[in-house]
Amino acid sequence: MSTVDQAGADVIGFLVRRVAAMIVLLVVISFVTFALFQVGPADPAAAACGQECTPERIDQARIALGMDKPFFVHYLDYLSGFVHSRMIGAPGALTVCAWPCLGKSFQTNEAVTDVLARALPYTVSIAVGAILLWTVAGVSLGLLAALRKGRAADKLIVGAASGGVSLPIPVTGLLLLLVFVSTLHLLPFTSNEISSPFGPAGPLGWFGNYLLPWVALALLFSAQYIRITRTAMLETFGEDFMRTARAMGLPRRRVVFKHGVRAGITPIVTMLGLDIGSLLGGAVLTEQIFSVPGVGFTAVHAAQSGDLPVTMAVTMMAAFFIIVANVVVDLCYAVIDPRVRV
Amino acid sequence: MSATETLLAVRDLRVAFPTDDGVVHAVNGMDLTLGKGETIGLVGESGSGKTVTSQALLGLFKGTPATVTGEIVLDGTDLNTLSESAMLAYRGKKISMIFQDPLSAMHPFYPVGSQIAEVYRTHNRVSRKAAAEVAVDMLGRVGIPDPRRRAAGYPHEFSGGMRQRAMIAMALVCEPELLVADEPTTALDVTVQAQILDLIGELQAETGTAVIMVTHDLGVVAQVCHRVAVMYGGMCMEVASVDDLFAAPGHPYTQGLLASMPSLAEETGRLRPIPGFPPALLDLPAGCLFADRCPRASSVADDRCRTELPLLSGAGHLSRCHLGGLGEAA
Repeated sequence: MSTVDQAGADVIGFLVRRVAAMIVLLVVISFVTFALFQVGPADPAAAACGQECTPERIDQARIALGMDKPFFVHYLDYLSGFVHSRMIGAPGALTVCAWPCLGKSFQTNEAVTDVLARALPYTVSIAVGAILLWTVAGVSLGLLAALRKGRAADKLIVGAASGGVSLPIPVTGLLLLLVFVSTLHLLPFTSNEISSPFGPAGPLGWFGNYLLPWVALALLFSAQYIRITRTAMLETFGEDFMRTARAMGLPRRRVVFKHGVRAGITPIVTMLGLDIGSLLGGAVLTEQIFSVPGVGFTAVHAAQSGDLPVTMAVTMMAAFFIIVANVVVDLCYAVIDPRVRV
Repeated sequence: MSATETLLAVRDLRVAFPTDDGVVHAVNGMDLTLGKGETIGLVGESGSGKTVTSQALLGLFKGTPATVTGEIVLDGTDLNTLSESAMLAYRGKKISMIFQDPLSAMHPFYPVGSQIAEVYRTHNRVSRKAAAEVAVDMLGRVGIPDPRRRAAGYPHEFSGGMRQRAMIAMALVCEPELLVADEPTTALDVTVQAQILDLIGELQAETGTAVIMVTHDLGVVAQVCHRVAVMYGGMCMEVASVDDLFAAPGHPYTQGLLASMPSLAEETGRLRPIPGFPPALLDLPAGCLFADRCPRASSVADDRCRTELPLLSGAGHLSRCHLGGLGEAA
């Protein structure tokens, strides 16, 4: 049996194990979220029944939402939606919730999958640009700082990074809006009509719409990437194999960019993977500040109004992305570092 | 000195590192000459400046805060005057180096063959494919079995001895005139040590490469070197042919060093270390660096050992001692 076949079998075995672990983890997370919701202060039934709530109407609402059932029955009902479609609603007014059923919003009675499908493109739009911007800026500035260690450029970059880390999104976001939108009128206020570069607004409209959220996120995150890149590269520059590469007459460019970056990139990949995962779960503050109706925005409103199915769905989706990102990071390790066998 | 043509002449080499505590003088006036194809041992304790000297020979301190002064003349060119970019043509091509720990000295993420090929391609205008062939051939020459398959392997997949063989293949792939071997067998099993030393000797006989064997192991010196330079406090204390040095060590430090070696032939079971500690390199004394530990310093008139640095002198067998005369072994 060739080593390639063996490696392929290893990867499949690894994926099977990780997917099984992921399912277990998601069930645990769903249970905890579900349980936490029961003890929370919000009463979904009171929120759902509208303006004039008599005790009878609250009870009816409670039945319609399924909250009259014992905790475990309610929870298992919820889980069953992941396996097959189910019926939801008050007795006599049951509607079908097609598979995969994550329930229907307590607020709007809309299928939660539709709510997510509507919110996700906004969040992806924010994530794609921000990640690209902060990775390029963070890694290149971090590398530059490492190459100029102790010199003026290094001190300037490290200083700026320390500043950047301590800039919270609400501050940078509002400042950006104040300067570039309200004062200079260079950019429009973010529109919730634009959720993709392929829409009617076109790529440029999309770009202009999301530029400020990208910059706000990138200011915060690139600071962290500068620090981690600088540290990783300085550590790599001290490695014996870097001295060997020099001793063999390899030009500095090759020593730094081929031998150095390849070896120092591992912690950056780890951080990037986890950041992508968590950002896809919703950029809560950024979406609030810029009024982008993405996943984070949806999550905040669902939690405030006691909308259990939507809150559950957003939590599970965020967990899903983070877990998948972890698996992808581990797979990347195996590609980067031949000593890692998945 | 033998009649062969001189390959390398190091004169008054000094290397100093600025630190927060002051300037550390790691090498303090090192003189060394080496003929073509010759093997010289550079021995000394830890901190005697062996490794710093060897790295300075390749110009590895260029572009660092360390200051390197003196001459390093290789084939008529003073390497110490060259810029970093001019030095690139020498490193790996005319002067190459192998290291103590071949696992950390090779890149963990690239196959061994491609690392060797990369060095070859850096100094020769050949295709990737041709360089890969050269690498496979070189791995075969250093005694790695099934070199074509092993070339695709990574350093961590090699045993310690095989790894050092691969490192030697990388260092010698461009057939340099001088190989600096910095403790190449220290990290290896004793049986593997002998194989690696034999291999270096064989390749040297084939290619005529001169070798500077940096080691703290006098056994290694006895096995492979023609001449030996004993280092202490960043300078040479004694330079002699291996036979002369072992038969009639001239410098009290060398005598102490040889006496401290455990011997199987002797009955007395105790080690005889040299009392005291190596000199502090932050603040060098005015006189002989060994004076404080020297059993015979008090026998020299006018306290010269503590006030005046002795010169490296003699004919063929050089010694840096005010007592001068050779064959005065205690």
